[in-house]
Amino acid sequence: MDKKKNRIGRWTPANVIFNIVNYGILTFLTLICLYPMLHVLFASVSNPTDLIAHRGLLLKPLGFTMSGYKLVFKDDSLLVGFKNTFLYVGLGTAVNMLFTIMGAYALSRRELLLKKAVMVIITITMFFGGGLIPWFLVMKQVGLYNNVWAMVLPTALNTWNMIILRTGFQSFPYDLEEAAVIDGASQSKILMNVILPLSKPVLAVIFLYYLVGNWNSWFNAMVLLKDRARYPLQLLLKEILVMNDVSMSSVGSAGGVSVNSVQGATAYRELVKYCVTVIVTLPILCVYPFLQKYFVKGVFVGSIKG
Amino acid sequence: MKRKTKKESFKTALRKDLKKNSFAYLLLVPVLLWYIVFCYAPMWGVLLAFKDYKPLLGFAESQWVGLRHFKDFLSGPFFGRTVRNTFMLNIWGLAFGFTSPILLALLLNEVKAMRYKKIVQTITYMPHFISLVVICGMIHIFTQSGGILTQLVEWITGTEHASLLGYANMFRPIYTFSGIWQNIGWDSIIYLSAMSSIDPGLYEAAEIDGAGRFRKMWHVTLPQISPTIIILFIFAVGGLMASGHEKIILLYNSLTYETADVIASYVYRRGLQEASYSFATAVGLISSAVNFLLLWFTNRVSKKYSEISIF
Amino acid sequence: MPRRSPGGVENGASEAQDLTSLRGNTAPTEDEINAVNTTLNDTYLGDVFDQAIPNDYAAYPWKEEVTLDVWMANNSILSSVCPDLNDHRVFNQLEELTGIKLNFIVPALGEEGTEFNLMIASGELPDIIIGADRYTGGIAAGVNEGAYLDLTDVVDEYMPNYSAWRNSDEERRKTTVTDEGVIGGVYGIAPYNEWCWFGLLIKQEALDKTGLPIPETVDELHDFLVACKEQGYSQPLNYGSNYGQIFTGIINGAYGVWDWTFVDDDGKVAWGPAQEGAKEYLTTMQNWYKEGLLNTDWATADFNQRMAEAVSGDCAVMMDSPDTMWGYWKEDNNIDFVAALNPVLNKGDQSKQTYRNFKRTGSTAAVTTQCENVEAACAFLDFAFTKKGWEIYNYGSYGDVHLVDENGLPYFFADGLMYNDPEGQPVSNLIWKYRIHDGANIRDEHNSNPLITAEGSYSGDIRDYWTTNMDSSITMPPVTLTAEEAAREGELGTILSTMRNEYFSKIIMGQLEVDAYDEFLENAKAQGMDEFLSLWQAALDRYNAR
Repeated sequence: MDKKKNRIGRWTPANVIFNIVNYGILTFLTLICLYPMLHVLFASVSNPTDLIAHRGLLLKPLGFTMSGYKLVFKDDSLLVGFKNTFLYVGLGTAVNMLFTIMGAYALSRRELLLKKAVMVIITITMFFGGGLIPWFLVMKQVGLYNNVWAMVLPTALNTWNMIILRTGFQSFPYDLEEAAVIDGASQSKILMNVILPLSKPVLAVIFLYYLVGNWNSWFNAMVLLKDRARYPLQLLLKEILVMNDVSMSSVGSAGGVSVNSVQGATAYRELVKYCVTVIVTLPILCVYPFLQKYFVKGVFVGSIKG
Repeated sequence: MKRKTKKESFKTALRKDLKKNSFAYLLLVPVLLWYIVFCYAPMWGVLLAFKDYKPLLGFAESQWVGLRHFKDFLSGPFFGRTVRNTFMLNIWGLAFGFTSPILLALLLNEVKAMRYKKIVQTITYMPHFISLVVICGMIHIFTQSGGILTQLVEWITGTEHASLLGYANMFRPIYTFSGIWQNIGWDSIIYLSAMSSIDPGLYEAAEIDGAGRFRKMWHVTLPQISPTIIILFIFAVGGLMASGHEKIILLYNSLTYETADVIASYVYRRGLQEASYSFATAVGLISSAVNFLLLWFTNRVSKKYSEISIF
Repeated sequence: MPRRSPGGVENGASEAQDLTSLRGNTAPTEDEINAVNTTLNDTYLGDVFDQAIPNDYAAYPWKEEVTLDVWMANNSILSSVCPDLNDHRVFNQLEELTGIKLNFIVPALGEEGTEFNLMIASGELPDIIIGADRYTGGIAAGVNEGAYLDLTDVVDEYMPNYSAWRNSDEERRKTTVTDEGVIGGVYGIAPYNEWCWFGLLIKQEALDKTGLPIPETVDELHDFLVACKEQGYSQPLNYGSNYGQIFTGIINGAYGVWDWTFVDDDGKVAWGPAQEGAKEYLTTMQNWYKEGLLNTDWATADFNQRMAEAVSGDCAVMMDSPDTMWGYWKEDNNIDFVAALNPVLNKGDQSKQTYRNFKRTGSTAAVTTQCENVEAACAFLDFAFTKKGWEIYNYGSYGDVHLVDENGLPYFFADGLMYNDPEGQPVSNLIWKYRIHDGANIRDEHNSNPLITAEGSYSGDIRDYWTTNMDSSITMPPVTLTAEEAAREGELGTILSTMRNEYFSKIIMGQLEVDAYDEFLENAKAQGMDEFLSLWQAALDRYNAR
């Protein structure tokens, strides 16, 4: 009891001031982190013409309309983009986990003779590469240009993640494995039944890293994919958000709303930007709280001892 | 004689090892293959830097030009600028982007109300999961003329502003602080976890010495997480010249090249947009070499003074 | 549009049926419409230009089943009216008539240059590339480096129509071949010299409100803009341009500071940004920007943004195309406008510009070295230079989009789709929906641009007015560089244009002092400005000798 009280701190004036300042700063920071997301969310359901005329902070939606979302979903290309992204994320993350586990497991073996040599080979790639152009030419040579696997294989492994996972695998007491060996378990069984189940937090963190990375990836798609029908969502998004190209055909007849004037179209174009932002960001924000509990443990295991 | 036996014993040991750990080696094969194809094969491509590569003529047919591309770049107007910009963006990153998660972690560590702490964490981690394209899209929206950030700048400076992305002096702040916004929470995790393993006895001892909260933070927490800070710092310095181009090419334009154009974006522009493949490869090679030297240097300094090193 | 098998198209040329009765017919029957749209019969089309358009249809419908991969860049208008080029109604009709199927490869908007280079670097080429002059170093380099097929020897045999059309006029012939006599691409060729298409456009209401006449000099323009600002036009001059260059010569030309290369009084190639008047020009613009006469966002605004600004009450003067502005101003928002000539420094000076059309317009197409069926690729491209091709590329389908007048010249009729789009799109977008606005074909801009021909449109008059009243003798003719020259020119040109854009825009926005221009000029010289000019000079000398 006494000890606990000590840790919370006594109600001295210095302590109170410290707390007020501390909580004040943190609350302010949190609001800053939160506001841009709320702004986008509110804007996406606001009345487009009011929105364009609006100045200052947006603390609640201006009116309410779902016409922006209707417009977005009327456009087939975004749906195709969604489908592609799901494919790339699913396939990519599976391959990522497979390769990372394989590499991390091998490198976590204590007695492996060639471990040092392999580590050197791997570490070098973290700091030295051929550069963009040679990389592209190799991708083309191995047949990945305009190939769906271009979204999977070039990013199949992340050295940093592999090292994190290796550290995770190494953190178990050795006797655990020895016991299994004595029981007659093969190495593959040990990996599947002992090591992997015990490494859940690190695996979860790495899984999340890959998942987010794959979901957000666009550059490889831009460079390696030629067919629009294969574009992932992010690349389509780049056209809309950064190149400022919102298809006018969908804007032209906005879910029953007729927008023929230039101002009207401009307003809807802005609205659509907010809507796609929300649509693309929501799925990933929905996944992450489920994995959040593993963060501290998983990140910790990997980095400090790495 | 002695050497030979040593060699021989290594051979037998290897054979034994391969047999004993066959499963591990089996798993290692595809991984190594991946490294060879995706990381090492492109390294041979640096030879392009010494040629005037024309894709349809092929590597062999393209003209050998020796060091011309290197000379062109080093003597051209973009060398100084891209190096300076790469360096400056990373200095900004180190000064603000690197320190802010440490501060956040220190502040969060002092919060005892668990629910509040959880809420702050959940919200500050969130931006990390928003994709770069969306982040840059949001930046475009917020900084266009009449955008919320533009209004803020207008309110502070009292003068009318066009799109903030059109001002060279705005680029570094926009780039850096949007980066902080995105990563402050996520990057603080590592420090928080380091803090969670600090021996509570240290705090008690400090308290007996009459240390207040602030002094405990300064004299106990900070020194205790310094190994983590130093390691991450070495990596950060090592990456000084390795600014990624993705975010930059999503945000820059010819008005901001002066502060925004870094080596990587220049390589992208010359190589992929203007089809000067060999020139771009030469530039990439130079930056890669500089990078490696920097990492090596920082690591040595760190090894000497703090006995912490990454290799 | 019903799709028919290639064999289903009848060869109209050999058929006796006479459709001349359709000339001047405003109510054709269903059968007649079908006959026009699905056969190669062209008897209803007249010879309306100085040279008759060829009509050799012997190759169509194509003898075998073939699909060609065609690379073609998108643009924001085209993408908004036709999300997938493979569904474009004009191309679908062309596929039917020629019996040649197309598979379009369309790069991401805004990444055309990058994706084009990547495609070249990948070594995987389509059959046809439209916009082939993107190749670093131009068409000549494309041929030399093995990307494009040298068509010199096959053009007569495989492309009888194109060959006849380009040889029908000396100017056409001269501008569609390299100095070495190589035909590396199929160029868009106009029936006439097209009018100049951009300049200063002023809202009529702004003239009325200020009570001032149309400005003729730079000073008058300044006073006019100030007066506009007093009348509430908060950013009276919309200064930006999305045509790849930030200055269109409209104001800078008065100081002799043309955008890029031009031919000076001595017949030598000169570079506008390095001319004497530059500092004076920059000082003026910097002052204008300080006075708030330009749109604040001019340097970064894209097309959509600029059009939104144009129709708003902030803008009084645009620097743009009267076709575009007729669409956005007059048609969509009922804002009347008038044209001004490029302002001059002293009253009474001759107004000048650097746009002159050499009967070569539109895009350039190339057949690649990886094309498996060169004959078919040539046949498809050749069709654009037949009478039927002229009709369909420029005027789209018959009966619903266009009709034909007494002289056999197609036109968009008032009740047709061009002016009554079911989706309610403005005509400024429809130029890409019911027709091909810009391609490797006989581009009949004056008669087939609906923004010009629409009832009440005066954009054609404006363009005619500009073209006849401004001196364009300083325009650089379409010279060609050798592959080596082109490679060097590409390098130097990129550096120079990057520097020009940066320095000029920063000086105008007041981020740099005008004196920074000296530094710019020094840098430009150090970066090979003279070498750059000598390359163009050599090319010009060769052109003059052609």
